Amino acid sequence: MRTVGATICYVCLATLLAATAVGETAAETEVPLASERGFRQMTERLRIALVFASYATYAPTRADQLLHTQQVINLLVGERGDGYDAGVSPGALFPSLAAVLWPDGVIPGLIPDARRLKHALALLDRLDPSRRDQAGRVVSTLTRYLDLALDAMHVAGRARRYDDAYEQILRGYAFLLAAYGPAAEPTPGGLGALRQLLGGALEASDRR
Amino acid sequence: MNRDRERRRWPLVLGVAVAVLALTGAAAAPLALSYRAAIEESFRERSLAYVISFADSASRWLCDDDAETVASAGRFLLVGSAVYVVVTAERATVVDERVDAAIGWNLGGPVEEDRFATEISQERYRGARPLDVRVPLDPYGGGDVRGTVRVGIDRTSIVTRIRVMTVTVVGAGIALDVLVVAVLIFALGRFDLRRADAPMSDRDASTDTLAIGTLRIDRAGKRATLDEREVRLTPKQFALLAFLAADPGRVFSDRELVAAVWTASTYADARDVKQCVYLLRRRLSEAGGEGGAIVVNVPGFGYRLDPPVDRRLTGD
Repeated sequence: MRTVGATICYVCLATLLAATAVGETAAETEVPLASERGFRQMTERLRIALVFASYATYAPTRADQLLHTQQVINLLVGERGDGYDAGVSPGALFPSLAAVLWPDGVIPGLIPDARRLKHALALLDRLDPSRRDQAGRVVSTLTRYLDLALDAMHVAGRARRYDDAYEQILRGYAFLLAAYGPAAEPTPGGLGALRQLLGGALEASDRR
Repeated sequence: MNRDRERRRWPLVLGVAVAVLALTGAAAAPLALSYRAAIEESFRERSLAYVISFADSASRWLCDDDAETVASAGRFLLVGSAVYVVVTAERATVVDERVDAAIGWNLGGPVEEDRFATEISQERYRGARPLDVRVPLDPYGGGDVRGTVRVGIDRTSIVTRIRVMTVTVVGAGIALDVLVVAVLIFALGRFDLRRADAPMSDRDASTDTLAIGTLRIDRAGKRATLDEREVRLTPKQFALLAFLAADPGRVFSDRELVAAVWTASTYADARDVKQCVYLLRRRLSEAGGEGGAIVVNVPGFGYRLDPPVDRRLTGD
């Protein structure tokens, strides 16, 4: 009886240790969002979403519109998000991009990442409080832009007529562009503006 | 009379139908052609913009030495309406992705690097010739990579749209024609009814009362008198008498009489005429006349109405 109890205890302990080890490995492979590399990946994924949105904008047929719109939705919501379609998974279709943008194999969504980014920034101790608040506001606007882009893409996907979908895709494209907001011409809620705000802090985070 | 009128009416209805059909055709054909041209033009513009968009991102990927992503994007376009995607950079083919049906296609020789063009391909894909779109690899200029992007876009969807639109326009035109002709027939029918129902004052009063010898027929009042004595007639007998009296002396065949008097019946024949004539003669005789001498049988031809003779004048 005593032996059985001890065996159970050992098994439980071994399981706990194994789980901790796996968790640590996962945490190591996952790129922190509030890091230079994580930020670059997010920017690049948003740029890819913009590329697909531009394809959807100029799609010659309704079938093409649907195809590219779904690609944008996939990138926005991520593999675990609502409305994700594995049939046009960017990971499967673009292996070379996948290796750079989602090396752990799981396609993260831009919207969930933007929400997590806000929490990650709150933990950046190298960022002074006023900049942190400002960055928080930028990330809120960024998240809103991405939400609006997703709404527009969903409406475009449901539209019956090509022209109605076209209008919505244009709206979605505009929101994505605002969210992208390159550093050279930053927009109020764009990643470019955020990059300028967090420059030094991100580098410090990366080094750690 | 009614049947004659109907017979005369059909060429008119047919003429109007042909005219309306011709007018509709004349209006629908340019409409269909212009709509078709608009769809084609819009498709060309969209396709060109689509390929420019692809070329722009492809040139950026190639600048980053990422030919694999260009190939992936090319393959991805094939999931949509692209039939083939060929990218050449610095005179070398970087991407040549095609759907199975397009694998053997000869796309021709090298294309000019600074030319934007859309042409209908010679090859067929799913029953329609695809649109061959060619744009420079760096469509907006300023890049380091020189080359071309060539994408074949399947035109099946717009060909189907054009067919649907043509069928719709033709169907709407035919429906309009049928409606116009139906309204015409209806209007003619109403006109006839109005004429039949019109009050006496609207019509030529001189033709409503016929006087043939001592026989007087009031067509409006549906009365007939012989020597001022009333002849009691049924509607059929009256109609027969009135018809014969419209042209006294003329011989009407059985067929003419059936057509004029039994207008609503498709089964009436010479026997009905014979019976009606017999009864009409009896009524005329009852009124003091000699029925057989008024409604005269002309063997082999038909019947005619002879003016009844005034007995006071003959002394009978």
